[in-house]
Amino acid sequence: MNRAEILEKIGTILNSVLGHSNFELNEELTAKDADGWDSLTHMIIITEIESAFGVKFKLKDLNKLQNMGNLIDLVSGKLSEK
Amino acid sequence: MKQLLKNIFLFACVLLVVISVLQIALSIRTKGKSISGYDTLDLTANVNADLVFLGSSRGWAHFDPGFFEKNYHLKSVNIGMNGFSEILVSELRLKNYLSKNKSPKFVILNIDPFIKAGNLNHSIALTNKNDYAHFAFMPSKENMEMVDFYKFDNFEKYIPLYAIFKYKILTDCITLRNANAFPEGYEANVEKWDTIKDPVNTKAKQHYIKDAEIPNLENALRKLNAFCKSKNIKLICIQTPVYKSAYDAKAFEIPKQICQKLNIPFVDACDEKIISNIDNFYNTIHLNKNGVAEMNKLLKNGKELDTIFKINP
Amino acid sequence: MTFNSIEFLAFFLSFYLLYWQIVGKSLKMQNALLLLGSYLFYAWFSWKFLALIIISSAFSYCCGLSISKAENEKRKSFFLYLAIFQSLGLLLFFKYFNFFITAVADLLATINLNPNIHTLKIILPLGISFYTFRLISYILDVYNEKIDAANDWVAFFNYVAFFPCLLAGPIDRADNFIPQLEKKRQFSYAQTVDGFRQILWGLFKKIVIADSCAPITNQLFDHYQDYPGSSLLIGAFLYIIQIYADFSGYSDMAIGIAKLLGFNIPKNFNYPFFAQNIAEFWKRWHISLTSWMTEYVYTPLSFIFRSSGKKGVMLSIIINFVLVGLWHGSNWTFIIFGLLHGLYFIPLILNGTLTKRNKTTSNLKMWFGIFSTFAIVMLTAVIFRCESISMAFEYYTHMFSKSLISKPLITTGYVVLMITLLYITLMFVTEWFGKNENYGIAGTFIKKSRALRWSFYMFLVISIYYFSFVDKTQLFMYLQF
Repeated sequence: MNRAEILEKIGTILNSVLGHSNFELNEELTAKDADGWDSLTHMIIITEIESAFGVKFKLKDLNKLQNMGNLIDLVSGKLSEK
Repeated sequence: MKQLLKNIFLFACVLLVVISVLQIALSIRTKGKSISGYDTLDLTANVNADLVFLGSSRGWAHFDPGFFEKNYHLKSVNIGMNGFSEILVSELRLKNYLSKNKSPKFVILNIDPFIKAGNLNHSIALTNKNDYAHFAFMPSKENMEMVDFYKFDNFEKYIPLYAIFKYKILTDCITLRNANAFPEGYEANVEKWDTIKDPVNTKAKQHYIKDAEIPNLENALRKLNAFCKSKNIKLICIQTPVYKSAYDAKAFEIPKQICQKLNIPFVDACDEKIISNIDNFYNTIHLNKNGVAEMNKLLKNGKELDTIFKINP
Repeated sequence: MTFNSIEFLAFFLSFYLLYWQIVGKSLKMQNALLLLGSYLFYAWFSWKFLALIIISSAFSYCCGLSISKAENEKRKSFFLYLAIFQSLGLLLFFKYFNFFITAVADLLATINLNPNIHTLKIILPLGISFYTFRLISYILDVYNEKIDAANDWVAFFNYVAFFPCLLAGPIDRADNFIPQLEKKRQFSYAQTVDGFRQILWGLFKKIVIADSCAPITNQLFDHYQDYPGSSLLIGAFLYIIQIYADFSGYSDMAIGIAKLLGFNIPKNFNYPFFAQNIAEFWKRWHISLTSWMTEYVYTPLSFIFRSSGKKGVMLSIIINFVLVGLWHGSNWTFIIFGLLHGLYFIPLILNGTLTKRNKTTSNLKMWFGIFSTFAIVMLTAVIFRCESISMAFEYYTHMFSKSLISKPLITTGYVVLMITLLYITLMFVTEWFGKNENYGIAGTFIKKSRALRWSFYMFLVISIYYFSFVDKTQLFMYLQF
């Protein structure tokens, strides 16, 4: 899977969890840019990403995420480990 | 930074003006009035009475100007001060009165074994300080001594609204709802003694003047008498009744002896019948209105006052 | 010297002039002066514990640098745990040792074991709950590579001990504050005026509102057996408002003072009583603490429990809020307080309102949300205030007894109560109209004439003047935490 595909899949998950798509889906996206993406929804998003891609994250990984680009890095890294 | 300081200064100036205006408005509102009925400094100005009652809370509660006016045809005013059994304080109050009035012919001082000479260096509880707070700001020359006696500090004297806010008398100053709390010119307490809340006991006897303090009292009284003489005022002492639980014959002889020694006319109103009737009192050492009436009857019948006032029957 | 004292005024005035006029040209000097001032401020309260905050700062500073220089994960973790152990350990000792000892003793007593346990005479170092959290968030952020370890020790020590926030927060984060320390502060007229305005509003809330409520609530809570339920209800109502006015007032003053020194601290309260549900409430109340807990406690917890779905979220939230409660003090009442708030979230979690946003709410729904949220929070104010669970229980039963419908008795008299309620109304109306601003009066009459604005400020100043004589012994409540 390439980065663009990962981005798109994550975008679908965001849409379904947050209930809207009022945000710019690109690598610079952060939680602050999307209405409703807070600590409570964040975990749901993470869980859905884990099940959608079939990967398991570590807490340490999460703490280093600053933006969508980092998230894509993380996911593709986990995918290549499989 | 310059603009900031300029604006801060401007704001401070406007603030000062606003609170000064408010203070002036309140001063005008309370001029010549009392706000609780106890602070009579201005209320008793320009009265020019013939007879002035002086003393402690007993003086304030026991001398009925109406009675004296009716029976002795002397214009009377009561300037007794609640909470202060000291000659020094009475003298201070009298001086304040005299700065605003013509000298009276007579001054009646309430005296009993609880009266002391007084010493401004010892802290005494400043009863009713709140009520006097409206005199604190920019006190007049006449009121300055009383304001200082009540230990109002420089903040209270020179910062607008400070004293009024600190002593929480703002609403009283605006509404003046207690301005006429004592329409009869003295306390005229109609309360009956609540012996449950305030049980009968002999604790008051612990506050009799001590032997060592008698010379001081003598000196203070001598000084007061001399002062009155210098103003052509005749000083008279009346010993008013207390409830029998606070009465001791020996103690109540002391004021008589002092007055005799100083040649001050002395009248003892501590009649056995009045003293033993609890219905005459609202607490151990204060007569209620009923008791005052009884005492007045006694005074009238005794005729000593007639002689003192040089009134022919 | 609390913010509303003459000593602080004198201190700050001289400090302010030195800070801008004398050392304003040099960053190093400005920071040195700031650190000196902060330590002087702290020492005024308790010079004995000054050493503690300095040692803790130094320790975390060194650990931070060690983490950034560490070559492997193991070394990094070692210094992380070391720093957390030192700072958190001290907090736990000073704050919770006696509580823990007593709880263990009580537990052992139930199985008839009565060891000779002595509680120590421990005095809580001032501000420790606040600066410990600043230290912990710093070291975690360094470990997670959210920020670089601070090289400039003066800047770092200033971050820990910044005097406006030292005693009662806000708990600012290193990534917001340290960069500001590393740049020279520029004097800005607009920021300074804004700071003064916020200080004015904070003083107003603290002195006019909180200090007026205090005599009434103290009397009602200390003698609740003597009052009818209706009075006790008023007591609970006034008390929650008192906490809000006191704490948000203090925060406003801290943030305002920081502005006067050229710093921007994020807001700590965002009109919590306008929240329409409990989740929104906690996003608006004591924001610096809640966001701290969310980032460093709730998120890891909810990650660990993420496979348990809604139950996992509930458990995480309950644990999170029990800890929030416990942070306030070492008493079972605070634990119950936290627990209640955690439980309040359950309906929201169950019906999914937490995660889905409602685009439009009718006015009726909005007001219903606001009042019901206020009501459930007000109820927890009782247990927050009471010294023991049994006392709180008695207060509740008294309040909801038949005497709830009898005439309320207020010792200070109805006039005082009415005036207090009027001022409370003024506060809420002002904040409602300013609810999109950083603080209540940031935008009040901004577009109108200066005369109108200044009249409004005059009114606030004179009200503060009037109420400043109410009771000089009312310290800021949150100083005890």
